Amino acid sequence: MTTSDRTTALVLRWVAVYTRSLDPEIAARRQAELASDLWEQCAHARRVGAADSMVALSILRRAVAGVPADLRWRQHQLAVARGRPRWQPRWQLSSTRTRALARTWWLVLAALFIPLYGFGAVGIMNFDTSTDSWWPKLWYTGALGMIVSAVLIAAGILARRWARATGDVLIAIGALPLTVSIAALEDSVLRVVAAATLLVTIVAFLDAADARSLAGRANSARRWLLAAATAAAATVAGLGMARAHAAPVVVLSVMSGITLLAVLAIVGYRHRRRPT
Amino acid sequence: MRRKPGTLLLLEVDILDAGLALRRDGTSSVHGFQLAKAIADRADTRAALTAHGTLYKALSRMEAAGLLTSTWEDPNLAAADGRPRRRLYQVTGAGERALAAWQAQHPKASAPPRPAAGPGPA
Repeated sequence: MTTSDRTTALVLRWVAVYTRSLDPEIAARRQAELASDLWEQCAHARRVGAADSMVALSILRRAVAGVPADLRWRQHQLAVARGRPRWQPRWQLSSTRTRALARTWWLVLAALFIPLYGFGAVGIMNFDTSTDSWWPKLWYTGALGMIVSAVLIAAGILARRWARATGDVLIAIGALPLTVSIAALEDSVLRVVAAATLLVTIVAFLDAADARSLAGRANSARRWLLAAATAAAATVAGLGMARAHAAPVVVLSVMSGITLLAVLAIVGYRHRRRPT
Repeated sequence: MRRKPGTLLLLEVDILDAGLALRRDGTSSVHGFQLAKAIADRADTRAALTAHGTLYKALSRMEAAGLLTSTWEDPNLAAADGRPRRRLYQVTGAGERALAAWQAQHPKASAPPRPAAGPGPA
C-alpha cells in the first residue's frame, strides 16, 4: 500500500465521520463523489508520473483545508433534515478582492518578508562608512543571509507564474532561515515574524507538493536551480551565522533545516511513480 | 458581510469558467477533480487544487441554485474502466448567464484559461 493509498483511506474515513447520521442518500452521494475525486487525482498522478509522496501531501492538504466547509455543509444538511429554515452563514466573502486575497494571503505575507529582510540586513549591519568595509560586515553580521533570503523569496514569487512548484520551493527556502533560528531569537516581535515565516514555509511546501502532483515530467534545469538556490541559502545562512558567533546548534539547525527541505523538494522532483 | 442575492463567489466564477472552457474543448460534462484541476491550471490563479469540502459544497450549492446540473455516469462504464463512478456536472443556461453578467461587471478579472501543461484527466 502506497502513501497516497493510506492518505486516501484516511480521507474516506473522515468523509464517513462527517456524513454520519445524515440522510443516507446525501451521505452516499458525498462519499461516492469523494471516492471518485481521490481516485481521479491518484490516476492523474500516475499518468503524469508524479511522486507518490507529493500526491499524498496534496490529498492531505485538500482534505484539511476543506474541513471547515465539510462541517458547515454537515450543519446545513442536519438543519434541512430537521425542517428548520435553510441554514445561512453569518457572513460570506463575496468581494472578489477579498476572495482573491484569501487565496493568495501567504504570497502577500511572503512578499512582506522582502523589505523586512532588507531593512533587517541594514539594521543588523549598523554600517559606519568611516570605519567599516562592506564585504566583511555582510558576512560578520549575517546580513548576507537575509539578503539572499529576500532575493530567493522575490525570485520565487516571480518564478511561480511560470513554474509554480519551483517558485514555491524558492519561497520556502528563502523563508526558512528565520524560521529555523526562532529558538535563538529573544525579541518577541522577531519571534512573531519567525512564526509567520514558518507558516509561509509550510504553505509554500504544500503548494509545491500540490503542483508536483499535477505536473508532468520535471524539468531537470529546475532541479538544478533548486539545488543551487538551496546550496546558496544554506551556505550563506550557516556561514553568516557562524561568523556572527551564533550558537553552533543554531547554525547547524539552519543548515540542516534548509538542506532537509531541499532534499524533500528535490526528491519530489526525482522519484516518480511509474506510470501504469 | 452577507452575500448579495444573485452575486457569484470567486470559486463559483472559477467553476463556471472552467466548466465552459472544458465544454469548448469538447468535454460536455465534467467531474469534480477535473474542475479542480482546470481551476488550478489557470494562468491567473496559479492556485492549489481546491479543497474537497470547499469544492463539493460549492458544487451542491450551485446545483441547488440552478447554475449546474449533475448526473451519475453509467455504472457499467465506470466498472469497465475499473474506477469509482463519476458525478458529472454541466453548466446550465442560467450558469452561463450568471458568468456573463459577472464578467461584464469585472472585465479585468476575466482572463483566458491557461492550457494544461500535461495530459488532462480522462
